[in-house]
Amino acid sequence: MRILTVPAILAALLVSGCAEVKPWDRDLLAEKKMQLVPAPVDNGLDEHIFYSKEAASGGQGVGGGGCGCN
Amino acid sequence: MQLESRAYLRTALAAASCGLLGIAPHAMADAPEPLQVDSALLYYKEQDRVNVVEATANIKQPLGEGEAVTVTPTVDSITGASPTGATSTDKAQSFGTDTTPAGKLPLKHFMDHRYAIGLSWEQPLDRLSKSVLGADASVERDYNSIGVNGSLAQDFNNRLTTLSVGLAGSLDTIQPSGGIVPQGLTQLGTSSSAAASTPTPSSSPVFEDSLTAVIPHAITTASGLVIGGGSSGSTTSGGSGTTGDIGTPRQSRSKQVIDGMVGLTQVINRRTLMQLNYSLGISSGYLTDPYKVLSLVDGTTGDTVGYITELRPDTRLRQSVYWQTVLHLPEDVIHLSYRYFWDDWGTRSHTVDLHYHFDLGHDFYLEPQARYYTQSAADFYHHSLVSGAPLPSYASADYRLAEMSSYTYGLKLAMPLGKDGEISARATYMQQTGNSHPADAIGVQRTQDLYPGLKATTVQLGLSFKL
Repeated sequence: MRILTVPAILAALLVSGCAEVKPWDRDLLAEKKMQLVPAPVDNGLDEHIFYSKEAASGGQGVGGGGCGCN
Repeated sequence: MQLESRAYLRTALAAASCGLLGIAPHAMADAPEPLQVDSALLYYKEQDRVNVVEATANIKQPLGEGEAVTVTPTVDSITGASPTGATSTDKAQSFGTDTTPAGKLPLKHFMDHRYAIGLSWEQPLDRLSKSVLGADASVERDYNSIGVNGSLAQDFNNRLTTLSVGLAGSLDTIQPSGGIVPQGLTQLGTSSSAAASTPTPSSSPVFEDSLTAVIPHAITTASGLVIGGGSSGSTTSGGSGTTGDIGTPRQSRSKQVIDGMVGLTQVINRRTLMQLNYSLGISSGYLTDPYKVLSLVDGTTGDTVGYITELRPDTRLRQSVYWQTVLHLPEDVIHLSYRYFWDDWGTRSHTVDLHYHFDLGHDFYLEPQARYYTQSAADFYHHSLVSGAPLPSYASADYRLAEMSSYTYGLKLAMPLGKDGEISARATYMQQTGNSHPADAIGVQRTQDLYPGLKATTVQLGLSFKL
């Protein structure tokens, strides 16, 4: 359970203390450059390289295809 | 005026509901949306090692009301040489047809192509939730993979918070070039385990191909060296299809991977978005690299006296916590992320990644990037093993399982192409460094670089447009 404690605390911190943002104030958040992954192709190529050169991988999402490079 | 206000409100509401879910606002419009193509051509070059040319594209067809289908084809062409796992010595070494001069890292040349395709279908389930279902497959000369994935995103808290869950599974098959899956921790040059005999020191150590060395019916000379029974040297000469060079069926092993993720995305304020993910992955099956070996060295002199195939555990439990924040400055945008990764192989890693979207105006932008990565070694990582000493249960000299750090720097320049398109150029430089002179080096090993550092550059051209 200890391994879940840190994410739980971080999640609580994440949700707490947030300002109310009205729907009509979310224009900036809707911009492409504000997306969590604004350039999926760049991101996919980078992740492929790092996956083939490092022990750690993942974190952003699931799926994406296998590779014999690691 | 009232109409204008309503139109503005509708756009703002659409933007609000889509921003969190990652749906572009136009996806909510009534008119059919055009096909969106995001493509890239990548050239990846390692100093003295591997070159890769990769072409890929995300082709997305919106189907209306937030539903869309995306196809992602990818083709890789890979050539060059990668480390065998053996360390450099003060004498020449040879591995099949590849000869390594004294003081140089033994490399094994290879060539391969990879063809991959991904399919995904995203669909709103109701006003506050959507699902994504996907499948992917990839084919290489010696490696095939097929997988499925699915995820759900649910908005709540006035759409300021999104809870995401995802699950993916894949089944991979490894068919080593040469047709043989090496037995782990088996000494090359003999057909028996290294634990059973101590190799004779040689003035010029000779690798047998890791694949030929463990062939059960290989011809063994009186001196114990295997001289036949498989491919000769480079993996490019490996068998094709389902038969090896000697006409026997190619051996294969499988690997199963299951990944799960739960994530929370939160609008912090009008300019700040934050994400926190926890991921858990389980790999099981054949996780060993069939092409990697370890050097066996003399316990006193440090001379390389032989080689032994690597062996890794057949399960691996991976976990990570990933945090990202996106911050909108007056014009520019910062993406900052941190990942802590740990697994039951003993690896711990930290990754910090920073992208700065520098708006140049008129849809031109520059994006510098900096990334720092560091990892501790896997429990069973050894730069080499001492000949005659008891063998560990598992051992690998793969530099990717060693303690190391890596820096990556990048720069992207993008400019608009027509009304909806974009053309971009991007370059990155990556440098890995590790412990070249570990404290447990023996004799002549102290004069050698025992960690093969890596320097790699990439050049990438991107093209996005709508049809």
